[in-house]
Amino acid sequence: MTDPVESDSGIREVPLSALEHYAYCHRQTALIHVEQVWDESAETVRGDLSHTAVDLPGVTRRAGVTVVRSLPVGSETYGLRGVCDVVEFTGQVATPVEYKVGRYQAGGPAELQLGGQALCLIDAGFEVPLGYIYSVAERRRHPVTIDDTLIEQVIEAAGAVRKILGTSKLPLARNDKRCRRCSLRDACLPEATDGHSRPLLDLFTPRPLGTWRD
Amino acid sequence: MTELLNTLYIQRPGTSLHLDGDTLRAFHPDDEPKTPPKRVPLVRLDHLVAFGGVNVSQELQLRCAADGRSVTYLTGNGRFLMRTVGPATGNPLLRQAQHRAADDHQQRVSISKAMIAGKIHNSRQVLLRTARDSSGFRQTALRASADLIAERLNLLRDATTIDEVFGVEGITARDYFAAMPHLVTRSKEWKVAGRNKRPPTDPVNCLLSFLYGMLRGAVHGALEQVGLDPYIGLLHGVRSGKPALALDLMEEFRPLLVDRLVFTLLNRRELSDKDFDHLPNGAYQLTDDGRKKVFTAWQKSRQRAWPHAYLRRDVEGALLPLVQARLLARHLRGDLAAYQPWTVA
Ligand code: SF4
Repeated sequence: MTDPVESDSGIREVPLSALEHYAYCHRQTALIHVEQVWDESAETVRGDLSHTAVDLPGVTRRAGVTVVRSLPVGSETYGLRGVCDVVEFTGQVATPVEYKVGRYQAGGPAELQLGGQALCLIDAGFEVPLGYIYSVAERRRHPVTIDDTLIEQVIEAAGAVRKILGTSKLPLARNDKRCRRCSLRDACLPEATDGHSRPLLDLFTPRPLGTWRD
Repeated sequence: MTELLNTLYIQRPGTSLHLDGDTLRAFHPDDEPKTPPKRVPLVRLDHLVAFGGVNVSQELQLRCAADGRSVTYLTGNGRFLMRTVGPATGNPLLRQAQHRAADDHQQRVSISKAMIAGKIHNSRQVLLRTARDSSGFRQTALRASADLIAERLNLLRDATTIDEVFGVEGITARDYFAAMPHLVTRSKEWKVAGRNKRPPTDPVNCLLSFLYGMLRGAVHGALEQVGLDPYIGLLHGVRSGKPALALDLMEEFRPLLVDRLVFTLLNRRELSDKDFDHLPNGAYQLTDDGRKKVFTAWQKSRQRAWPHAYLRRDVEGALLPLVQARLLARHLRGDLAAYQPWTVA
Protein backbone atom coordinates (compact mmCIF):
# COMPACT_ATOMS: atom_id res chain seq x y z
CA MET A 1 0.00 0.00 0.00
CA THR A 2 1.11 3.51 -0.67
CA ASP A 3 1.23 6.03 2.10
CA PRO A 4 -1.90 8.05 1.71
CA VAL A 5 -1.40 11.69 0.89
CA GLU A 6 -3.94 13.23 3.16
CA SER A 7 -5.30 16.69 3.39
CA ASP A 8 -5.94 18.23 6.79
CA SER A 9 -9.50 16.98 6.77
CA GLY A 10 -8.22 13.45 6.35
CA ILE A 11 -9.36 12.86 2.76
CA ARG A 12 -6.73 11.48 0.45
CA GLU A 13 -6.06 14.23 -2.07
CA VAL A 14 -6.51 13.63 -5.77
CA PRO A 15 -4.27 15.55 -8.19
CA LEU A 16 -6.39 17.36 -10.76
CA SER A 17 -4.29 15.93 -13.60
CA ALA A 18 -5.29 12.46 -12.45
CA LEU A 19 -8.91 13.27 -13.35
CA GLU A 20 -7.93 13.68 -16.96
CA HIS A 21 -5.88 10.50 -16.92
CA TYR A 22 -8.78 8.70 -15.28
CA ALA A 23 -11.17 9.82 -17.99
CA TYR A 24 -8.77 8.45 -20.59
CA CYS A 25 -7.90 5.14 -18.95
CA HIS A 26 -8.06 3.84 -15.38
CA ARG A 27 -4.82 1.95 -15.73
CA GLN A 28 -3.08 5.06 -16.99
CA THR A 29 -4.08 6.85 -13.79
CA ALA A 30 -2.47 4.12 -11.73
CA LEU A 31 0.64 3.93 -13.91
CA ILE A 32 1.27 7.64 -13.56
CA HIS A 33 0.11 8.32 -10.03
CA VAL A 34 0.87 5.01 -8.30
CA GLU A 35 3.68 3.48 -10.34
CA GLN A 36 5.26 6.83 -11.16
CA VAL A 37 5.74 5.80 -14.75
CA TRP A 38 6.27 8.72 -17.03
CA ASP A 39 7.59 8.35 -20.50
CA GLU A 40 9.31 11.25 -22.12
CA SER A 41 7.54 10.39 -25.28
CA ALA A 42 7.36 12.92 -28.04
CA GLU A 43 3.89 13.84 -26.94
CA THR A 44 4.75 14.66 -23.36
CA VAL A 45 7.82 16.59 -24.46
CA ARG A 46 5.67 18.61 -26.81
CA GLY A 47 3.20 19.11 -24.00
CA ASP A 48 5.94 20.48 -21.77
CA LEU A 49 7.12 22.89 -24.43
CA SER A 50 3.67 24.33 -24.88
CA HIS A 51 3.37 24.71 -21.16
CA THR A 52 6.56 26.65 -20.57
CA ALA A 53 4.97 29.99 -21.39
CA VAL A 54 2.06 29.48 -19.02
CA ASP A 55 4.15 27.64 -16.45
CA LEU A 56 5.90 30.81 -15.31
CA PRO A 57 3.85 32.03 -12.40
CA GLY A 58 2.71 35.59 -12.75
CA VAL A 59 -0.11 38.04 -12.43
CA THR A 60 -1.25 40.60 -15.02
CA ARG A 61 -4.03 43.10 -14.68
CA ARG A 62 -5.98 44.73 -17.46
CA ALA A 63 -9.33 46.48 -17.57
CA GLY A 64 -10.80 44.95 -14.44
CA VAL A 65 -9.53 41.44 -15.22
CA THR A 66 -6.77 39.84 -13.17
CA VAL A 67 -5.01 37.02 -15.00
CA VAL A 68 -3.03 34.55 -12.90
CA ARG A 69 -0.77 31.94 -14.43
CA SER A 70 0.14 28.68 -12.67
CA LEU A 71 -2.31 29.18 -9.86
CA PRO A 72 -2.18 26.47 -7.18
CA VAL A 73 -5.67 25.46 -6.14
CA GLY A 74 -7.17 22.90 -3.83
CA SER A 75 -10.35 21.86 -2.13
CA GLU A 76 -10.49 20.53 1.39
CA THR A 77 -14.10 19.57 0.96
CA TYR A 78 -13.57 17.47 -2.13
CA GLY A 79 -9.96 16.39 -1.56
CA LEU A 80 -8.54 17.93 -4.72
CA ARG A 81 -5.34 19.76 -5.45
CA GLY A 82 -3.54 20.97 -8.52
CA VAL A 83 -2.38 23.89 -10.55
CA CYS A 84 -4.49 25.86 -13.04
CA ASP A 85 -2.63 26.96 -16.17
CA VAL A 86 -4.44 30.29 -16.27
CA VAL A 87 -7.35 31.75 -14.29
CA GLU A 88 -8.99 35.04 -15.16
CA PHE A 89 -10.68 36.80 -12.26
CA THR A 90 -13.35 39.46 -12.77
CA GLY A 91 -14.79 40.42 -9.42
CA GLN A 92 -16.29 37.27 -7.92
CA VAL A 93 -16.22 35.39 -11.21
CA ALA A 94 -13.30 33.08 -11.97
CA THR A 95 -12.65 31.61 -15.40
CA PRO A 96 -10.09 28.79 -15.63
CA VAL A 97 -8.28 28.20 -18.93
CA GLU A 98 -6.56 24.85 -19.45
CA TYR A 99 -3.90 24.55 -22.17
CA LYS A 100 -3.82 21.40 -24.27
CA VAL A 101 -1.37 20.47 -27.01
CA GLY A 102 -3.77 18.58 -29.21
CA ARG A 103 -7.08 19.45 -30.77
CA TYR A 104 -10.12 20.11 -28.66
CA GLN A 105 -12.46 17.22 -28.13
CA ALA A 106 -15.93 18.08 -26.92
CA GLY A 107 -16.74 16.07 -23.80
CA GLY A 108 -13.16 14.76 -23.74
CA PRO A 109 -10.96 14.00 -20.73
CA ALA A 110 -9.66 17.59 -20.50
CA GLU A 111 -13.14 18.79 -19.53
CA LEU A 112 -13.07 16.69 -16.40
CA GLN A 113 -9.81 18.32 -15.38
CA LEU A 114 -11.26 21.77 -16.08
CA GLY A 115 -14.30 20.80 -14.04
CA GLY A 116 -11.98 19.86 -11.17
CA GLN A 117 -10.33 23.27 -11.33
CA ALA A 118 -13.74 24.91 -11.34
CA LEU A 119 -14.79 22.91 -8.29
CA CYS A 120 -11.70 24.09 -6.39
CA LEU A 121 -12.43 27.69 -7.33
CA ILE A 122 -16.08 27.32 -6.34
CA ASP A 123 -14.97 25.84 -3.03
CA ALA A 124 -12.82 28.94 -2.55
CA GLY A 125 -15.93 31.12 -2.88
CA PHE A 126 -15.88 32.16 -6.53
CA GLU A 127 -18.56 31.83 -9.16
CA VAL A 128 -17.41 29.72 -12.07
CA PRO A 129 -20.03 29.59 -14.81
CA LEU A 130 -17.57 29.03 -17.64
CA GLY A 131 -14.11 27.73 -18.40
CA TYR A 132 -12.01 27.36 -21.52
CA ILE A 133 -9.82 24.73 -23.07
CA TYR A 134 -7.14 26.34 -25.17
CA SER A 135 -5.95 24.11 -27.99
CA VAL A 136 -2.37 24.91 -28.89
CA ALA A 137 -2.76 23.02 -32.17
CA GLU A 138 -5.78 25.10 -33.21
CA ARG A 139 -4.63 28.28 -31.46
CA ARG A 140 -8.03 28.97 -30.08
CA ARG A 141 -10.03 28.57 -26.91
CA HIS A 142 -13.17 26.49 -26.61
CA PRO A 143 -15.79 27.46 -24.03
CA VAL A 144 -16.97 24.80 -21.61
CA THR A 145 -20.06 25.39 -19.49
CA ILE A 146 -19.50 24.47 -15.86
CA ASP A 147 -22.85 22.95 -14.94
CA ASP A 148 -24.09 20.56 -12.27
CA THR A 149 -23.64 17.56 -14.50
CA LEU A 150 -19.94 18.26 -14.97
CA ILE A 151 -19.43 18.95 -11.27
CA GLU A 152 -21.14 15.69 -10.37
CA GLN A 153 -18.92 13.84 -12.81
CA VAL A 154 -15.88 15.42 -11.19
CA ILE A 155 -16.92 14.39 -7.70
CA GLU A 156 -17.63 10.85 -8.83
CA ALA A 157 -14.34 10.57 -10.72
CA ALA A 158 -12.39 11.97 -7.76
CA GLY A 159 -13.85 9.21 -5.59
CA ALA A 160 -12.90 6.57 -8.12
CA VAL A 161 -9.36 7.95 -8.48
CA ARG A 162 -9.01 7.97 -4.71
CA LYS A 163 -9.78 4.26 -4.69
CA ILE A 164 -7.18 3.59 -7.38
CA LEU A 165 -4.53 5.54 -5.47
CA GLY A 166 -5.29 3.57 -2.36
CA THR A 167 -4.68 0.11 -3.78
CA SER A 168 -1.36 -1.19 -4.96
CA LYS A 169 -2.93 -3.47 -7.58
CA LEU A 170 -3.11 -1.99 -11.04
CA PRO A 171 -6.34 -1.95 -13.06
CA LEU A 172 -6.26 -4.20 -16.11
CA ALA A 173 -5.13 -2.76 -19.42
CA ARG A 174 -7.81 -1.79 -21.92
CA ASN A 175 -5.85 -2.99 -24.91
CA ASP A 176 -8.06 -1.13 -27.36
CA LYS A 177 -7.59 1.67 -29.85
CA ARG A 178 -6.80 4.22 -27.14
CA CYS A 179 -3.62 2.34 -26.38
CA ARG A 180 -2.26 3.25 -29.78
CA ARG A 181 -2.19 6.93 -28.86
CA CYS A 182 -1.15 6.36 -25.28
CA SER A 183 2.30 7.56 -24.32
CA LEU A 184 2.55 4.91 -21.61
CA ARG A 185 2.06 2.06 -23.97
CA ASP A 186 5.60 0.74 -23.74
CA ALA A 187 5.56 0.71 -19.98
CA CYS A 188 2.03 -0.65 -19.80
CA LEU A 189 2.43 -3.56 -22.22
CA PRO A 190 -1.34 -3.64 -22.79
CA GLU A 191 -1.17 -6.73 -24.99
CA ALA A 192 0.15 -8.71 -22.04
CA THR A 193 -1.67 -7.06 -19.15
CA ASP A 194 -5.28 -6.89 -20.30
CA GLY A 195 -6.28 -9.90 -18.24
CA HIS A 196 -6.87 -12.15 -21.22
CA SER A 197 -3.19 -12.77 -20.71
CA ARG A 198 -1.80 -14.34 -23.81
CA PRO A 199 -0.65 -17.91 -23.26
CA LEU A 200 2.70 -18.10 -21.52
CA LEU A 201 5.43 -19.78 -23.49
CA ASP A 202 6.51 -23.29 -22.65
CA LEU A 203 10.10 -22.40 -21.92
CA PHE A 204 11.44 -25.88 -21.39
CA THR A 205 10.54 -27.50 -24.68
CA PRO A 206 13.14 -27.05 -27.41
CA ARG A 207 11.86 -25.15 -30.39
CA PRO A 208 12.92 -25.54 -34.02
CA LEU A 209 15.08 -22.98 -35.78
CA GLY A 210 13.24 -19.67 -36.00
CA THR A 211 12.79 -17.46 -39.00
CA TRP A 212 14.79 -14.52 -37.58
CA ARG A 213 16.92 -12.94 -40.21
CA ASP A 214 20.59 -12.46 -39.82
CA MET B 1 5.61 5.35 -27.95
CA THR B 2 9.16 5.41 -26.72
CA GLU B 3 11.21 6.26 -29.72
CA LEU B 4 14.16 4.06 -30.43
CA LEU B 5 16.38 4.45 -27.45
CA ASN B 6 19.10 6.76 -28.47
CA THR B 7 22.39 6.19 -26.86
CA LEU B 8 25.27 8.35 -27.95
CA TYR B 9 28.66 6.69 -27.68
CA ILE B 10 31.67 8.99 -27.69
CA GLN B 11 34.91 7.15 -27.90
CA ARG B 12 37.52 9.38 -29.49
CA PRO B 13 39.96 10.33 -26.71
CA GLY B 14 40.35 14.07 -26.38
CA THR B 15 36.76 14.81 -27.30
CA SER B 16 34.96 17.21 -25.02
CA LEU B 17 31.21 17.53 -24.81
CA HIS B 18 29.42 20.72 -23.96
CA LEU B 19 25.93 21.97 -23.39
CA ASP B 20 24.76 24.50 -25.91
CA GLY B 21 21.18 25.53 -25.33
CA ASP B 22 19.20 22.34 -25.83
CA THR B 23 21.90 20.61 -27.83
CA LEU B 24 25.04 18.70 -27.11
CA ARG B 25 28.14 20.00 -28.84
CA ALA B 26 31.17 17.77 -29.38
CA PHE B 27 34.57 19.30 -29.84
CA HIS B 28 37.94 17.76 -30.63
CA PRO B 29 41.17 19.81 -30.74
CA ASP B 30 42.45 17.89 -33.78
CA ASP B 31 39.44 18.81 -35.90
CA GLU B 32 40.03 21.23 -38.71
CA PRO B 33 39.32 24.71 -37.37
CA LYS B 34 36.73 25.17 -40.08
CA THR B 35 34.72 21.97 -39.54
CA PRO B 36 31.57 22.86 -37.66
CA PRO B 37 31.32 21.14 -34.26
CA LYS B 38 29.02 18.14 -34.12
CA ARG B 39 25.69 18.87 -32.50
CA VAL B 40 22.95 16.57 -31.30
CA PRO B 41 19.64 17.84 -29.92
CA LEU B 42 19.32 16.53 -26.38
CA VAL B 43 15.70 15.50 -26.87
CA ARG B 44 16.93 12.77 -29.15
CA LEU B 45 19.20 11.24 -26.52
CA ASP B 46 18.38 9.01 -23.60
CA HIS B 47 21.87 8.02 -22.61
CA LEU B 48 25.42 9.16 -23.13
CA VAL B 49 28.30 6.74 -23.00
CA ALA B 50 31.75 8.30 -22.71
CA PHE B 51 34.84 6.19 -23.18
CA GLY B 52 38.30 6.77 -21.75
CA GLY B 53 39.70 10.23 -22.42
CA VAL B 54 36.37 11.86 -23.22
CA ASN B 55 35.44 14.92 -21.22
CA VAL B 56 31.87 15.81 -20.33
CA SER B 57 31.38 19.34 -19.07
CA GLN B 58 29.76 19.68 -15.70
CA GLU B 59 27.06 21.83 -17.18
CA LEU B 60 26.12 19.05 -19.56
CA GLN B 61 26.23 16.44 -16.81
CA LEU B 62 23.93 18.49 -14.62
CA ARG B 63 21.53 19.04 -17.45
CA CYS B 64 21.49 15.33 -18.23
CA ALA B 65 20.84 14.52 -14.58
CA ALA B 66 18.02 17.03 -14.46
CA ASP B 67 16.40 15.54 -17.56
CA GLY B 68 16.73 11.98 -16.31
CA ARG B 69 19.38 11.11 -18.87
CA SER B 70 22.21 8.93 -17.66
CA VAL B 71 25.87 9.41 -18.45
CA THR B 72 28.02 6.30 -18.33
CA TYR B 73 31.80 6.34 -18.25
CA LEU B 74 33.76 3.37 -19.53
CA THR B 75 37.45 2.72 -19.96
CA GLY B 76 38.75 2.51 -23.49
CA ASN B 77 38.21 -1.23 -23.19
CA GLY B 78 34.62 -0.87 -22.22
CA ARG B 79 35.07 -1.58 -18.52
CA PHE B 80 32.41 0.16 -16.49
CA LEU B 81 33.70 3.07 -14.42
CA MET B 82 30.83 5.26 -13.38
CA ARG B 83 27.34 6.24 -14.20
CA THR B 84 25.66 9.45 -13.25
CA VAL B 85 21.92 9.76 -12.85
CA GLY B 86 19.63 12.41 -11.47
CA PRO B 87 17.59 12.29 -8.30
CA ALA B 88 15.94 8.91 -7.81
CA THR B 89 12.44 8.90 -9.09
CA GLY B 90 10.46 5.84 -9.66
CA ASN B 91 8.23 3.49 -8.01
CA PRO B 92 8.75 2.40 -4.43
CA LEU B 93 6.11 -0.30 -4.80
CA LEU B 94 8.12 -1.90 -7.57
CA ARG B 95 11.32 -1.80 -5.55
CA GLN B 96 9.51 -3.31 -2.62
CA ALA B 97 8.20 -6.08 -4.84
CA GLN B 98 11.71 -6.69 -6.15
CA HIS B 99 13.09 -7.03 -2.64
CA ARG B 100 10.30 -9.40 -1.69
CA ALA B 101 11.06 -11.55 -4.74
CA ALA B 102 14.73 -11.59 -3.82
CA ASP B 103 13.76 -13.00 -0.42
CA ASP B 104 11.31 -15.50 -1.81
CA HIS B 105 13.20 -18.62 -2.78
CA GLN B 106 10.47 -19.99 -4.98
CA GLN B 107 10.01 -16.82 -6.93
CA ARG B 108 13.75 -16.43 -7.35
CA VAL B 109 13.99 -19.95 -8.73
CA SER B 110 11.13 -19.55 -11.15
CA ILE B 111 12.34 -16.22 -12.56
CA SER B 112 15.91 -17.51 -12.78
CA LYS B 113 14.75 -20.62 -14.60
CA ALA B 114 12.91 -18.49 -17.11
CA MET B 115 15.97 -16.33 -17.73
CA ILE B 116 18.27 -19.31 -18.21
CA ALA B 117 15.69 -21.05 -20.38
CA GLY B 118 15.75 -17.95 -22.55
CA LYS B 119 19.50 -18.09 -22.76
CA ILE B 120 19.49 -21.78 -23.65
CA HIS B 121 16.82 -21.30 -26.28
CA ASN B 122 18.71 -18.45 -27.90
CA SER B 123 22.03 -20.34 -27.71
CA ARG B 124 20.39 -23.23 -29.54
CA GLN B 125 19.19 -20.82 -32.19
CA VAL B 126 22.76 -19.69 -32.77
CA LEU B 127 23.91 -23.28 -33.13
CA LEU B 128 21.01 -24.32 -35.37
CA ARG B 129 21.34 -21.31 -37.64
CA THR B 130 25.07 -21.82 -38.11
CA ALA B 131 24.46 -25.54 -38.68
CA ARG B 132 21.89 -24.75 -41.35
CA ASP B 133 24.44 -22.62 -43.19
CA SER B 134 27.28 -25.12 -42.99
CA SER B 135 27.94 -28.66 -44.12
CA GLY B 136 29.81 -31.86 -43.41
CA PHE B 137 31.52 -32.47 -40.12
CA ARG B 138 30.93 -28.95 -38.93
CA GLN B 139 27.21 -29.26 -39.42
CA THR B 140 27.08 -32.59 -37.62
CA ALA B 141 29.03 -31.20 -34.69
CA LEU B 142 26.83 -28.13 -34.39
CA ARG B 143 23.63 -30.18 -34.55
CA ALA B 144 25.00 -32.51 -31.89
CA SER B 145 25.68 -29.52 -29.63
CA ALA B 146 22.19 -28.20 -30.22
CA ASP B 147 20.73 -31.59 -29.27
CA LEU B 148 22.84 -31.78 -26.17
CA ILE B 149 21.70 -28.35 -25.09
CA ALA B 150 18.08 -29.27 -25.77
CA GLU B 151 18.40 -32.04 -23.21
CA ARG B 152 19.66 -29.61 -20.64
CA LEU B 153 16.28 -27.88 -20.83
CA ASN B 154 14.74 -30.96 -19.18
CA LEU B 155 17.19 -30.66 -16.33
CA LEU B 156 16.30 -27.02 -16.01
CA ARG B 157 12.59 -27.80 -15.93
CA ASP B 158 13.17 -29.99 -12.87
CA ALA B 159 15.49 -27.60 -11.05
CA THR B 160 14.13 -26.56 -7.65
CA THR B 161 17.03 -24.59 -6.21
CA ILE B 162 19.17 -21.70 -7.36
CA ASP B 163 22.22 -23.96 -7.22
CA GLU B 164 20.59 -26.38 -9.61
CA VAL B 165 19.70 -23.56 -11.99
CA PHE B 166 23.30 -22.37 -11.86
CA GLY B 167 24.46 -25.92 -12.42
CA VAL B 168 22.41 -26.26 -15.58
CA GLU B 169 23.55 -22.87 -16.78
CA GLY B 170 27.15 -23.89 -16.20
CA ILE B 171 27.07 -27.13 -18.15
CA THR B 172 25.06 -25.61 -20.96
CA ALA B 173 27.53 -22.76 -21.31
CA ARG B 174 30.35 -25.31 -21.37
CA ASP B 175 28.61 -27.36 -24.08
CA TYR B 176 27.87 -24.27 -26.08
CA PHE B 177 31.34 -22.76 -25.95
CA ALA B 178 32.85 -26.16 -26.71
CA ALA B 179 31.21 -25.72 -30.11
CA MET B 180 32.91 -22.35 -30.58
CA PRO B 181 35.57 -23.66 -33.00
CA HIS B 182 32.67 -24.65 -35.28
CA LEU B 183 30.91 -21.34 -34.92
CA VAL B 184 33.91 -19.39 -36.13
CA THR B 185 35.16 -20.36 -39.54
CA ARG B 186 38.93 -20.32 -39.89
CA SER B 187 38.93 -20.93 -36.16
CA LYS B 188 42.59 -21.97 -36.16
CA GLU B 189 43.60 -18.63 -37.57
CA TRP B 190 41.61 -16.93 -34.81
CA LYS B 191 43.06 -19.25 -32.18
CA VAL B 192 39.62 -20.21 -30.95
CA ALA B 193 39.66 -22.57 -28.02
CA GLY B 194 36.80 -21.99 -25.59
CA ARG B 195 35.72 -19.19 -23.35
CA ASN B 196 38.42 -17.42 -21.33
CA LYS B 197 38.21 -13.97 -19.90
CA ARG B 198 40.78 -12.70 -17.43
CA PRO B 199 42.49 -11.61 -19.55
CA PRO B 200 41.07 -12.79 -22.87
CA THR B 201 43.86 -14.61 -24.66
CA ASP B 202 42.47 -14.74 -28.17
CA PRO B 203 40.60 -12.34 -30.43
CA VAL B 204 37.26 -14.12 -30.06
CA ASN B 205 37.31 -13.89 -26.29
CA CYS B 206 38.58 -10.36 -26.46
CA LEU B 207 35.56 -9.40 -28.56
CA LEU B 208 33.15 -11.34 -26.38
CA SER B 209 34.39 -9.62 -23.22
CA PHE B 210 34.27 -6.24 -24.85
CA LEU B 211 30.73 -6.58 -26.14
CA TYR B 212 29.43 -8.24 -22.97
CA GLY B 213 30.58 -5.04 -21.31
CA MET B 214 28.51 -3.01 -23.75
CA LEU B 215 25.52 -5.25 -23.20
CA ARG B 216 25.88 -5.02 -19.45
CA GLY B 217 25.83 -1.24 -19.66
CA ALA B 218 22.68 -1.34 -21.77
CA VAL B 219 20.90 -3.74 -19.42
CA HIS B 220 21.97 -1.82 -16.35
CA GLY B 221 20.57 1.36 -17.84
CA ALA B 222 17.31 -0.32 -18.80
CA LEU B 223 16.78 -1.65 -15.27
CA GLU B 224 17.38 1.76 -13.78
CA GLN B 225 15.09 3.38 -16.26
CA VAL B 226 12.27 1.04 -15.31
CA GLY B 227 12.94 1.58 -11.62
CA LEU B 228 14.43 -1.80 -10.73
CA ASP B 229 17.53 -2.02 -8.57
CA PRO B 230 20.32 -3.49 -10.73
CA TYR B 231 22.18 -4.69 -7.63
CA ILE B 232 19.46 -6.88 -6.15
CA GLY B 233 19.69 -10.05 -8.19
CA LEU B 234 17.49 -13.09 -8.37
CA LEU B 235 19.73 -15.68 -9.97
CA HIS B 236 22.99 -14.01 -9.05
CA GLY B 237 21.67 -13.06 -5.63
CA VAL B 238 23.19 -10.14 -3.85
CA ARG B 239 26.92 -9.73 -3.98
CA SER B 240 28.47 -6.51 -2.88
CA GLY B 241 29.50 -4.39 -5.80
CA LYS B 242 27.96 -6.70 -8.42
CA PRO B 243 25.03 -5.46 -10.45
CA ALA B 244 23.48 -8.87 -9.95
CA LEU B 245 20.12 -8.18 -11.58
CA ALA B 246 21.89 -6.74 -14.61
CA LEU B 247 23.92 -9.94 -14.83
CA ASP B 248 20.71 -11.98 -14.52
CA LEU B 249 18.91 -10.13 -17.24
CA MET B 250 21.93 -10.18 -19.55
CA GLU B 251 21.86 -13.94 -19.84
CA GLU B 252 19.04 -14.24 -22.36
CA PHE B 253 20.64 -11.61 -24.62
CA ARG B 254 24.21 -12.90 -24.75
CA PRO B 255 23.93 -15.55 -27.47
CA LEU B 256 22.14 -13.50 -30.12
CA LEU B 257 23.00 -9.91 -29.31
CA VAL B 258 26.69 -10.53 -28.65
CA ASP B 259 27.97 -14.01 -29.57
CA ARG B 260 26.31 -14.11 -32.93
CA LEU B 261 27.61 -10.62 -33.72
CA VAL B 262 31.16 -11.64 -32.79
CA PHE B 263 31.05 -14.76 -34.94
CA THR B 264 29.63 -12.79 -37.85
CA LEU B 265 32.26 -10.06 -37.56
CA LEU B 266 35.05 -12.61 -37.71
CA ASN B 267 33.48 -14.87 -40.30
CA ARG B 268 32.82 -11.97 -42.64
CA ARG B 269 36.38 -10.78 -42.09
CA GLU B 270 35.18 -7.40 -40.96
CA LEU B 271 37.99 -7.54 -38.43
CA SER B 272 41.52 -8.71 -39.05
CA ASP B 273 44.46 -9.61 -36.91
CA LYS B 274 45.65 -6.02 -37.25
CA ASP B 275 42.68 -4.87 -35.18
CA PHE B 276 44.13 -6.49 -32.07
CA ASP B 277 47.20 -5.85 -29.98
CA HIS B 278 48.82 -8.98 -28.69
CA LEU B 279 50.25 -8.06 -25.31
CA PRO B 280 53.34 -9.64 -23.74
CA ASN B 281 51.27 -11.38 -21.05
CA GLY B 282 49.35 -13.26 -23.70
CA ALA B 283 46.30 -10.99 -23.53
CA TYR B 284 44.54 -9.61 -26.58
CA GLN B 285 43.24 -6.08 -26.76
CA LEU B 286 41.40 -4.15 -29.45
CA THR B 287 43.33 -1.39 -31.15
CA ASP B 288 41.70 2.03 -31.43
CA ASP B 289 40.79 1.24 -34.96
CA GLY B 290 39.46 -2.16 -34.10
CA ARG B 291 37.37 -0.73 -31.32
CA LYS B 292 35.85 1.77 -33.66
CA LYS B 293 34.82 -1.01 -36.04
CA VAL B 294 33.30 -2.99 -33.21
CA PHE B 295 31.28 0.00 -32.02
CA THR B 296 29.97 0.73 -35.43
CA ALA B 297 28.91 -2.88 -35.76
CA TRP B 298 27.35 -2.89 -32.28
CA GLN B 299 25.44 0.30 -32.90
CA LYS B 300 24.21 -0.97 -36.23
CA SER B 301 23.14 -4.28 -34.79
CA ARG B 302 21.20 -2.48 -32.07
CA GLN B 303 19.01 -0.92 -34.72
CA ARG B 304 17.86 -4.16 -36.23
CA ALA B 305 14.56 -5.69 -35.22
CA TRP B 306 14.24 -9.12 -33.62
CA PRO B 307 11.08 -11.18 -33.38
CA HIS B 308 9.81 -11.51 -29.82
CA ALA B 309 8.19 -14.90 -29.31
CA TYR B 310 6.03 -13.84 -26.38
CA LEU B 311 4.95 -10.37 -27.48
CA ARG B 312 4.57 -11.63 -31.05
CA ARG B 313 6.02 -8.54 -32.59
CA ASP B 314 9.43 -7.24 -33.59
CA VAL B 315 11.53 -5.27 -31.13
CA GLU B 316 14.71 -3.33 -31.95
CA GLY B 317 17.86 -4.69 -30.36
CA ALA B 318 18.39 -1.42 -28.51
CA LEU B 319 14.95 -1.71 -26.94
CA LEU B 320 15.05 -5.38 -25.98
CA PRO B 321 16.69 -4.80 -22.56
CA LEU B 322 14.08 -2.16 -21.78
CA VAL B 323 11.19 -4.35 -22.90
CA GLN B 324 12.46 -7.24 -20.79
CA ALA B 325 13.07 -5.02 -17.79
CA ARG B 326 9.44 -3.94 -18.14
CA LEU B 327 8.16 -7.48 -18.47
CA LEU B 328 10.09 -8.29 -15.30
CA ALA B 329 8.65 -5.25 -13.55
CA ARG B 330 5.14 -6.19 -14.69
CA HIS B 331 5.61 -9.69 -13.30
CA LEU B 332 6.98 -8.43 -10.00
CA ARG B 333 4.02 -6.04 -9.68
CA GLY B 334 1.61 -8.90 -10.18
CA ASP B 335 0.45 -7.91 -13.67
CA LEU B 336 1.84 -11.02 -15.35
CA ALA B 337 1.66 -14.56 -14.03
CA ALA B 338 5.27 -15.34 -14.94
CA TYR B 339 8.40 -13.69 -16.22
CA GLN B 340 8.75 -14.32 -19.93
CA PRO B 341 12.29 -14.03 -21.24
CA TRP B 342 13.08 -12.78 -24.71
CA THR B 343 13.25 -15.73 -26.99
CA VAL B 344 13.75 -15.25 -30.68
CA ALA B 345 11.25 -16.85 -33.04
S1 SF4 C 1 -1.59 1.56 -23.04
FE1 SF4 C 1 -3.81 1.38 -23.02
S2 SF4 C 1 -4.27 0.28 -21.12
FE2 SF4 C 1 -2.19 1.02 -20.95
S3 SF4 C 1 -2.36 2.95 -19.90
FE3 SF4 C 1 -2.38 3.42 -22.09
S4 SF4 C 1 -4.54 3.44 -22.67
FE4 SF4 C 1 -4.40 2.46 -20.67
